Amino acid sequence: MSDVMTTEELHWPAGVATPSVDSDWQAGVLCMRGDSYPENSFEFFTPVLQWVERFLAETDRPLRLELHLVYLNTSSVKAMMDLFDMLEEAHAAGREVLVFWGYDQRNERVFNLAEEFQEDCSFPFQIQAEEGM
Amino acid sequence: MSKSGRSQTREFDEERLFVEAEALLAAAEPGCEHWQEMTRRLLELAQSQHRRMQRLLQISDGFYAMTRADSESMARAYDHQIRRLEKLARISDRYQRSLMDITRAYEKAAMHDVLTGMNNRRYLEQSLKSCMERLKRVGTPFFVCLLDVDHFKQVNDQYGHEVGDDVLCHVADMILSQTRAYDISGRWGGEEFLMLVQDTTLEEAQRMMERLREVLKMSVVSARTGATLPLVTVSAGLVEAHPEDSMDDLLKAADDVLYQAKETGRDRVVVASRT
Repeated sequence: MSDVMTTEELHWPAGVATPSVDSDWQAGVLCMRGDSYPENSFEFFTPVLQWVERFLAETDRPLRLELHLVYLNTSSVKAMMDLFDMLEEAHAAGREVLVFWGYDQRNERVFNLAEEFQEDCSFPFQIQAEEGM
Repeated sequence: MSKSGRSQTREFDEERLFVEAEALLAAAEPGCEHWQEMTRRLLELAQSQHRRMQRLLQISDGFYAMTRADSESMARAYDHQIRRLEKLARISDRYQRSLMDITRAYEKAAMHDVLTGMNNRRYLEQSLKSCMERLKRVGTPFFVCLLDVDHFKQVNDQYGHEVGDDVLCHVADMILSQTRAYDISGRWGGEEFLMLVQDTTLEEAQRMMERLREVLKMSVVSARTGATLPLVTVSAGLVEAHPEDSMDDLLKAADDVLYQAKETGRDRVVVASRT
């Protein structure tokens, strides 16, 4: 396994309908924050999925997916499912992966959403209330 | 032959039969060479057919195993997709519910007065428009009553705005308790309230307003500050809607008689005399 980064880092600021995305290949962290209802979710999420896919394929280090997502439209939910499927597969193959989902403690709806995703994942999936998000 | 495949089911052992047949051929007596040769050829043909059958069974078993593995894998993928679909539907339903709750909250906020919880001016204007349309279409009569709290500015100046707010809430409670479920009432603005009284006569509407005025006069406002308030009185103007009225005509007519009620000493209901 090589630790040399072969894909570009993602540093996208949040848009009107898209979350901010920040990747750190060396630290093995991918962070998404905000609402997600892009017009073309496929186009938006493809580079994100590719980054994760390559990280899992080209390194053997742990991956931490840090989410502070609030609203997801249906196609964003599907993209997240694809992402979690990818992590599930890697985890089944012995890879160390973790999802951390932080949510505003006043917003129970986000907690329910995260819990819905957590239900099908056998890898560590942490949901944590945060103050003043 | 595969031990786990479908070809495992057999009624007799061909290999053993071939061995026995060869032993019989080897033990044939002299003079039977022609018969022996024919039998040997038949045996070789049978053995060849047997080997081909074995190969076919092996291929068939292979396909069976592959198909079974494929169908199991497809069934798993199908279940996975169904679970994902169900999850998507659940999440989507939950969002729809939230959206409906938020929409209702906004609708309520847009149509209700924050202080008293009554209908607000926007709602009253829409209702007035509906009543006018019904009056023009099917002749359903209705009456507009504009009510104003007497000397409200003095209450505010003397006791403060908090107490003023308590007075308005008190008046709102009294209006709601003295009108029928199908009458429409709300805060028109400031210390003014508007009522749309339907399905009754002018005399009955007037009685209803007089009763409200008296009940209010006799009631005691419980102010949060504990202040002892003088009795609250109200003045009201009542007007019957006519099909030819515009909304502005009707509201002006109600305002005019309310003004008369104020000018003639307050604490009274004045009915517009219209032809």
